[in-house]
Amino acid sequence: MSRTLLALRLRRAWTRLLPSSLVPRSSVQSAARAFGAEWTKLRTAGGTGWLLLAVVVLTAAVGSAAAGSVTCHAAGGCGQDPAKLSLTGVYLGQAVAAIIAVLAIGGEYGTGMIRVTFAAMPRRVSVLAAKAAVVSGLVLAAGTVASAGSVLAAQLILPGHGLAGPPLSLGNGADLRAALGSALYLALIGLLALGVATAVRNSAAAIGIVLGLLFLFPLLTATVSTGAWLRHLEQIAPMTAGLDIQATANIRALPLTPWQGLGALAAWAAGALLLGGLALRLRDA
Amino acid sequence: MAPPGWTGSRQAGAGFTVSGSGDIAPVVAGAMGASKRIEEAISVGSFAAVIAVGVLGALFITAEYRRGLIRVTLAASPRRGRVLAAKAIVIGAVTFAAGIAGIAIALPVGLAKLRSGGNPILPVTALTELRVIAGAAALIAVAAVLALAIGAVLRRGALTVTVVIAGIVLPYLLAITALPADAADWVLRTTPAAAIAAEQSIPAYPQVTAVYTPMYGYYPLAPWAGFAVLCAWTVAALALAAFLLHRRDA
Repeated sequence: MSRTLLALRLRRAWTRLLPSSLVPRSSVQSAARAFGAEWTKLRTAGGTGWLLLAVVVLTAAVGSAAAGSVTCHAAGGCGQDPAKLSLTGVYLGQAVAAIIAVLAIGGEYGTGMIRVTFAAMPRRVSVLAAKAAVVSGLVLAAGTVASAGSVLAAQLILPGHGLAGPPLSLGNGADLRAALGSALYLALIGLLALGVATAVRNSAAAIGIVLGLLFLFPLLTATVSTGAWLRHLEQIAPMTAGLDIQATANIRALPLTPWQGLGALAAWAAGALLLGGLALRLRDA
Repeated sequence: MAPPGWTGSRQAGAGFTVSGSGDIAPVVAGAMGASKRIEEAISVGSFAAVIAVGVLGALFITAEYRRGLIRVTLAASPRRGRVLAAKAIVIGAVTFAAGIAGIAIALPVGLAKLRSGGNPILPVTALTELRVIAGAAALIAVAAVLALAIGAVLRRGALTVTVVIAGIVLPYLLAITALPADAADWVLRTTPAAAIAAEQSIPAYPQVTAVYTPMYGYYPLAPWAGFAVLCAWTVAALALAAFLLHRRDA
């Protein structure tokens, strides 16, 4: 064996012994490794698969029940929005999506695993970014199946219930926007929940804060009746604004356009992730 | 009596039948007029409190499982049903006291704010006002006990909090915003959210034409019947929790 080859082998063996964080790597490589680590953790955590299945099943079941319960005998329909009605299940599905996101980081704080994670990957913000990519990707996939399933189920259920207007169809631009937008909505709820859970570090408290943020705003708008205040509240409430993406009827009466509404939720999600990222950098793990 | 939905006056022989809402009938809350019900001053706050005590009640047991403290607890008092009962009494009493205090502050403050905003408040008897306050506080306290019981069954904090909120807050929210009338009615009869009826201060008058829907503060069940639905769910959850606590290893 030549001397150079021996030196090379020794060096390789030495690099293998070093902690992986000390080996210099390109930023793309390290991002890919962070993503791979988070993917493995979320994939192998107990319950992720069940929770993703629950997003699909609960969303489609509640949507079908809502579509099945509507009866309208008045001529010209009852002012129901078929796409929005068929996607009612998103109200419940978002709670499950929030659990997935909260557990992705809260579970690590609960067990102390987070210290191992940060020892292996000292760049904490890239850990959060990798978690955000994995969680939003998985929720987006489950949400797409859930909303497409909801609309397809309602297509079978709704005829005969007396709703006015053209039949619900994913071939129709507005209905497709409502369905795909609902999947994006669920993914953004996941990002919001991930940011909150990173800042709070306790799963139960984080899910309480997220669901409070989502559900208390619309309860408040139901009691506030004065015009200007009501409109502002509906524009900034994460759930009310975000679900504007489901509207296919009376769009001009909404306080925001559908995509602006989803944008308002995206701003909430970005704010929560920023808060979580800052907390990660400034605090001990 | 006039057929439902019929408004106006009708002469039959020597008598007049008058139906509608106005000065000769009680004023009702709803689409017509800016009148507010007293519970509008506290309903959002009581749901916020339900979410907070849901977290508290869930952590009261799931934190013990998380830290392993539950093994010490059960070693110290091996009668597990008694541990659960003691926890339920403590969390129920504490949250009821906190709920009464919070509602007793929120109600006058909220009503003063509504009045200063130019909204007339529909008058109620002192007994009804007391029932609204006690009902809201009882809703908060039983929600905490329900969270404790579900927490003992699931042993996971985040999952427990979600189930409690999805059981109490979400059905009410769906009933007043998204669901068709029949489904809203069904949801407020069967889910734990039925307990919101305990806060209803103005009854539905059969002689007054109005929109009697949950959105305007009229619920399908009587106040204590609605509260009983929540209690039934809680008793069932406690029974399941006690059974599983005996059956399973800690």
